[in-house]
Amino acid sequence: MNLQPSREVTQLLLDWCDGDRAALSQLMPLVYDELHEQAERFMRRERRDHTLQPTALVHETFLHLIDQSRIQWQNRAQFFGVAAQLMRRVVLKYARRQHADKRWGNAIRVPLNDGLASIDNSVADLFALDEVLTRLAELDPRQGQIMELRYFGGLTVEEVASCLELSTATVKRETRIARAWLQREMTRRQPMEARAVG
Amino acid sequence: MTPDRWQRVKELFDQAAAVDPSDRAAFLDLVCEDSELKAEVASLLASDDQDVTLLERPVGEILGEILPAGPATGRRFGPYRTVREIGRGGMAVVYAAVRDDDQYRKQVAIKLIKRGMDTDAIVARFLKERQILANLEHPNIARMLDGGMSEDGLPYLVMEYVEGVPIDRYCDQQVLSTEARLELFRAVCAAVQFAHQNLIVHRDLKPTNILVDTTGAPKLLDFGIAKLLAADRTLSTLVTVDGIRPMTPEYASPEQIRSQPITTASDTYALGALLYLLLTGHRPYRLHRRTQAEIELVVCEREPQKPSTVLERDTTLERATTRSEENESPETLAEAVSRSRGTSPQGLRRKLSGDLDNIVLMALQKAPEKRYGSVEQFSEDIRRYLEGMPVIARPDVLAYRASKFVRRHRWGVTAVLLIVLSLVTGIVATAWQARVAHSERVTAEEVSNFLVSLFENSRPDKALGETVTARELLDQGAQRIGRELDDPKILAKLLDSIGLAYYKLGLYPEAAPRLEEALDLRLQTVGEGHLEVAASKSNLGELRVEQGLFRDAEKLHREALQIRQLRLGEEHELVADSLINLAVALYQQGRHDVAEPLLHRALEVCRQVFGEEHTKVAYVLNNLALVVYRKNRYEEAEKLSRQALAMNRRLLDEDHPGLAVNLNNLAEVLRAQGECEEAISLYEQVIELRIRVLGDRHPGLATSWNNLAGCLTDLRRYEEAERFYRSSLKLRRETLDDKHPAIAGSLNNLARIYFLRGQLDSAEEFYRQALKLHRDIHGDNHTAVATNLGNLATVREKRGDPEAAEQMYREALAINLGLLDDEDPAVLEQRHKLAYLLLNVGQLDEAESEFRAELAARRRSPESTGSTSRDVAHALFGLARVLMAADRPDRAEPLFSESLEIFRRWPAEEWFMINGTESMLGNCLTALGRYQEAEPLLLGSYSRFKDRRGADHPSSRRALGRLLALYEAWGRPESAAHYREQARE
Repeated sequence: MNLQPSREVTQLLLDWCDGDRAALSQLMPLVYDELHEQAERFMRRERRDHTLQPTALVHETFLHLIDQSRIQWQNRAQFFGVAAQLMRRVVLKYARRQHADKRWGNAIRVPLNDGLASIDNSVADLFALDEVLTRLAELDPRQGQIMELRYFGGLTVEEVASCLELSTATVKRETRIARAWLQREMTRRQPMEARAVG
Repeated sequence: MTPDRWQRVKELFDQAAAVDPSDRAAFLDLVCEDSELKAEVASLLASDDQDVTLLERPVGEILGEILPAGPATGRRFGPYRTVREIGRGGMAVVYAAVRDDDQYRKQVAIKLIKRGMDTDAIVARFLKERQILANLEHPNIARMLDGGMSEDGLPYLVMEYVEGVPIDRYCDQQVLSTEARLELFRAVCAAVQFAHQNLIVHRDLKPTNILVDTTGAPKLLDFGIAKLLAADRTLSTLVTVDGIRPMTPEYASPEQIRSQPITTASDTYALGALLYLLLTGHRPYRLHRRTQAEIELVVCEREPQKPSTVLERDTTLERATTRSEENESPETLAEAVSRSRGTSPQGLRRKLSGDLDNIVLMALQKAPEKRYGSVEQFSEDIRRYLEGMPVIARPDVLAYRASKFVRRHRWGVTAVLLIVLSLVTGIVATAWQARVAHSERVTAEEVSNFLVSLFENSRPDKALGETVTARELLDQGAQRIGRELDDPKILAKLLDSIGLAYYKLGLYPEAAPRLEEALDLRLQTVGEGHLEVAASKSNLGELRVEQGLFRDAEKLHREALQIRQLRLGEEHELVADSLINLAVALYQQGRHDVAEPLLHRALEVCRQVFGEEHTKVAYVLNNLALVVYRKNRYEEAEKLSRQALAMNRRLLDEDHPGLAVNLNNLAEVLRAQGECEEAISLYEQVIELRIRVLGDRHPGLATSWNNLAGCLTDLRRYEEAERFYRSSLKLRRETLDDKHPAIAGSLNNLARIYFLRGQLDSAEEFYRQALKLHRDIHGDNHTAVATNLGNLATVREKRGDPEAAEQMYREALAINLGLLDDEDPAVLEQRHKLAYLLLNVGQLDEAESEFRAELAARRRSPESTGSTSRDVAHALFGLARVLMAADRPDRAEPLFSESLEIFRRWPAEEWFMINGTESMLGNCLTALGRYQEAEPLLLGSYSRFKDRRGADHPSSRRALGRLLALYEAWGRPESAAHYREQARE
């Protein structure tokens, strides 16, 4: 069941880009549903390789949501930039909602056999990541942008490089140190959290 | 942190990241403007090194977890109805469910296989094994209750619903001590052991599969599930296209990574990895990129860090982090880890090191057969630890140490030694089996031959590095063979090999009994005249040289040579070896003239056998250089030495110990020719090379320090010389037998330094110690005793005891004359000293005859026109002084003139003697009334003494006295008065 590119979504996106915060809250459930749908389709289509391909997923989600004829994307960078930001918000919102359903500590854990960490773990990490990423962007806007594209846009190093018109070497270098910084900031937070709940 | 400062941090991070991790701290010290900056960069580097966490998992994976797949509630699976979704991953979705017909509404967990996993093979296997798994009933194992096909054709499993937290998190939350963790872990082991008894392997043990409930009981999930699901999985499907997110590779055994057969030993491994985590808070490996290549490399090749040290590493890394923080959370990772175990980092480290290190590492062995034989054994070993009993686990010394060692040292022979050493233990096992099956004995023999041949190939290089480690290996081997072998032939070979290895490591006291026993065994089994006996004698002979037992060595090498010549003819490598060894034994006794032709013969044989360019040829050239050097033919010695060095540089690895020997000898030759600066630089190279290859505990290093100190002594750098002599003495005392001549040599050299510095008490004390040692070693009749006596005599003479000195000189001379020929430098040296003493005490006739004997001998020496002509000059000078004392200036004058002419050829080395001779000659000419000839000599020598030694120096004063005497004899009182005035000042 293919959604037709939605005029509504496109308009909301444009409004959001113009600074209309209310547009975002209307936008998110639409994006989430589409993401969900795309993910399902993805799983059905790929019988053997059942891993989600984040780039493709994000990409397809947006292609389905947006009436591209109405938007003059200046370049790929802007498209992916918006996509990544939106994805970040969507993911956080729904993660938060799930988190609220199952509070840490009495959650039931039946881990899966493919080594994924349990839900609560990931969600806690996700919140931490969101927070430290925001701080990174204040310190170094370019690094913040790169990391947002990497994590929430699902872009590879090469894709980030071509989006931002940087060399891959630069992206790699920036990624490495940003990752180290994020990693450190996140691990600094964690003992505090553990104490709070333990 | 301002953006500007952040840019600087980034710069430094990039630079430091390019530096080798071990050098980073030093690098940062160098480049960072302040300590805060340094701490910031260091902490970023530390987290750059850390395990990947969420940051390596792209959003797609998170999406997979947070997006519910279809409706989570109300789905039907047979009699079960889902209540909610509780987990999801690439392979399956898990729902909480209840039985519709269950009045107690007992919850179950339903694992629904995802689309893509529903292949025919998996479904078939699933149906077959479902029943087996359902029979697995154990209180600590989550039961498989049921299974079936969903309405849309997907297989599902119904399992006991477990409420709890992963074991690692539970342990931390409860702040369990190490002991409590071990007890809990043993409960896990019991459950796994139970499954193993039912022929079920878990295959995917990891913390998230082991939950601990509120009563503290562990519950294992997903037993055998991995096998159901992973029937046709290989690594290539475990690693996804992106190169990330396989199953948790930290817990997968090497055989799993390589898709090799999986057994209960794989679970043992995973449990080892789990225990590692529970004890240390770290996984055994740190994976960064998680590519197939990295996983294979790390899991299958790398040795995990010892649990006790993994903590330490992170402490140092993290400490930098806390310093940079604003005092808010001054807790390091190591502190956090140990706090959650109710202890301190030091306490935890202490607890882990030793038995627990060994236990964990044994479970984590790469080869399944090297791990514990069963999970039960693993668990039992932990029980033994908890009860304070000795544990089974011992570090896998051979494989573990050897691999680390080989990585550190590139030098080939070192690696060979380690292979050999591992064979020593291998062959022991093989030979042990030989008692059971006769045919095996042949194999053992072959292996043994191989073992011995490897040693042979590593010759003539004597030394091998890393004494401590290699020694441990050897001790183990040596211990085992005595206990476990009874075939005398094999035993002899092994004893020979082990003895040889000890010898090469410089562990002479350990080497001796093995080589002796090997020889005895061979004499008993194969009889005198056998080549194996010759080999044993040869090895023992080499050792005897190092032990300083030169006569014994000579005898052994003569016998070996005889056997070899008889069995192999003249032209054979082994014959050449024996010739060389015999020559070395003779050389050590000072019998250079006998040694030299043997070496020429050996050189011929080697050239015939190996050709012109060969390490063996270089080896002989090198020895020949040494003998020629001892015969004072320095230029020839230098030429030979350089030839050998050039050849070895072409043939050998730059780390090869043979080069050190070469460089050392060349340096000695240069030093003898007074080229001390070049010699020192060579010695420094030798020392650097030896430390790098042999470590800092090898006797060879002591020799290098000793020689370097000798050079420094020549340059009058006495303090540095003393330091090196002392280091050398200390090392020799620690590594050599108490009665080793080298120790006496060190004592002698130190005494000489004290003598030269005018510390006569110390000098005498050390000379006496050295003398006593020499006499203990050699008896009274030995050149070393003579030299020592001579030196002691010089000290006594200086201290105003000419009677004792004279007696000692005469004794020394008598010993030397009994052992050496009349022209031997040692004899001449004693004569020279004795003659001077006699001159000083006024026994002029005897002094004259000693000097004349010396002079005659020195003039006969073929090198008397070369560098050693200086010795001729000294003898001439001494004799001239005797004649002056005997009031025969007419006979003294030509002798002074001749010696002056010779000394003037060595202006730098002999400036003192040039001045002294000029002064004496001037005095002599005054006595002969040849004032005009005398004046310039006396003026010049006086002014130079005064300039270089000061007016108060005895030499200056004596020179001034002779000048005064000239003017008085000449009848020039005004000049005399002028200089007398100077003398008064």
